[in-house]
Amino acid sequence: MAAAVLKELERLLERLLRLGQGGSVDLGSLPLGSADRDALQTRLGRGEVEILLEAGGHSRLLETGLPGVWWVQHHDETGAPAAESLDVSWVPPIVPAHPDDVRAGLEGLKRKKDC
Amino acid sequence: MDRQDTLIDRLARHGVTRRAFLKYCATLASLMALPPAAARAMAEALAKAERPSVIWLSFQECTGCTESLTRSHTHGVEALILESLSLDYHHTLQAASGEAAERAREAAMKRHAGRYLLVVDGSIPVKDGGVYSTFAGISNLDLLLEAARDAAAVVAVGTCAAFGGLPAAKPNPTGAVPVAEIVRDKPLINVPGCPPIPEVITGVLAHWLVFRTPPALDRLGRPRAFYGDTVHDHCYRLPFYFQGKYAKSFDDEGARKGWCLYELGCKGPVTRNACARMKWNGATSFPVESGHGCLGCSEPGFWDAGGFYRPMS
Repeated sequence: MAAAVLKELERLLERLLRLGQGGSVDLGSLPLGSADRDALQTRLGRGEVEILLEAGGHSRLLETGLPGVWWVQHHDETGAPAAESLDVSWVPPIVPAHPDDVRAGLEGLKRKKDC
Repeated sequence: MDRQDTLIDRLARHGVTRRAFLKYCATLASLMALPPAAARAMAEALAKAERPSVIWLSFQECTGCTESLTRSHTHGVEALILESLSLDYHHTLQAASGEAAERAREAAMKRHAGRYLLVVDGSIPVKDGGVYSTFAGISNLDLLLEAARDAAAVVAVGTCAAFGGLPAAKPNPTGAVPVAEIVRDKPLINVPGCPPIPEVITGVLAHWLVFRTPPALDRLGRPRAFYGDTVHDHCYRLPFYFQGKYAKSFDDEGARKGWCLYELGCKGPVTRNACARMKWNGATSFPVESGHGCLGCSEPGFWDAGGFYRPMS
């Protein structure tokens, strides 16, 4: 199973370089045993970036030793595991602010300045 | 609230950020076995979704399905998605009563004709002209036929609505039947369980909100994402089953060691439901984890299957 995941990551990384858009492998939907998981973690290694996100529960986004491949673990508000995936992207898509939110923030800033 | 008010606006007012919402969508996509890319599409579509009208009819039932949903530990975004439905008629939750409630139902059905989602819990008694369950002088049978006529789709919540449930147990004195025997010309999603897992109900409703189509269903009309595997498939006691280690009574050494409950009548091997995977009460536990065998409550006829404590073979 680990070999199949690595093959899919290879395909997604090529797509990221070619089209600027990667993809994701949902680990929760795969019958990954502990041996598969260990093999994946060993093969992917650790990168330089770790992002912690507090949004509807705790999330940890770890860059792996393969630049552009992120190990993403989401937990819900009770701390229970909610979703786990390997994201292939420059930065995991959940991280950058959404333009609508930036716009709303800017409007709020202007309103405060006018007060 | 005007019609331009979208789900993301409503979530923002409750302090739910876009990232928390994206996380919920990623979790839901994973649970429903949708492609990973679907999470972002779901988030975009759900964020823009306007409040759909829902008519919720309760027939021969115990209100357990509603209790499961409203008293569950369903939290955060999931709870808010439920709040974001325009629940135009629900016996247990609505403030109106009597004729005012019936007028509200009729008005909602007329205003949203062809677009509202009809949710049904409870079976429908058809014996003797359906006289065994009525409200406002209308039999359950007539009300279901009337409400289904202009519905976009029907969701049968709970085993009573999906398969007849306890009211249909032998000798079935009221002639109780499931929704599927009455409504044959609308998309129908069966969400059985006594009661169903609340997150399964919200998952099905969220899927409808996004795609306006039923999710992939099995031959009994159940969403495959939640009912595709048996309780046995994901049971943490499964290794003991393969080792032939069975509890012989509820207080013997095997029971204390957490051995398989097959010989105590567990119906997990033939019951398709997500209890062992998603669990209950905020993913705390499920019946087998609490020491009792699965009753098979999401399967047709579980109430007449020969005894909850009788082994299957």
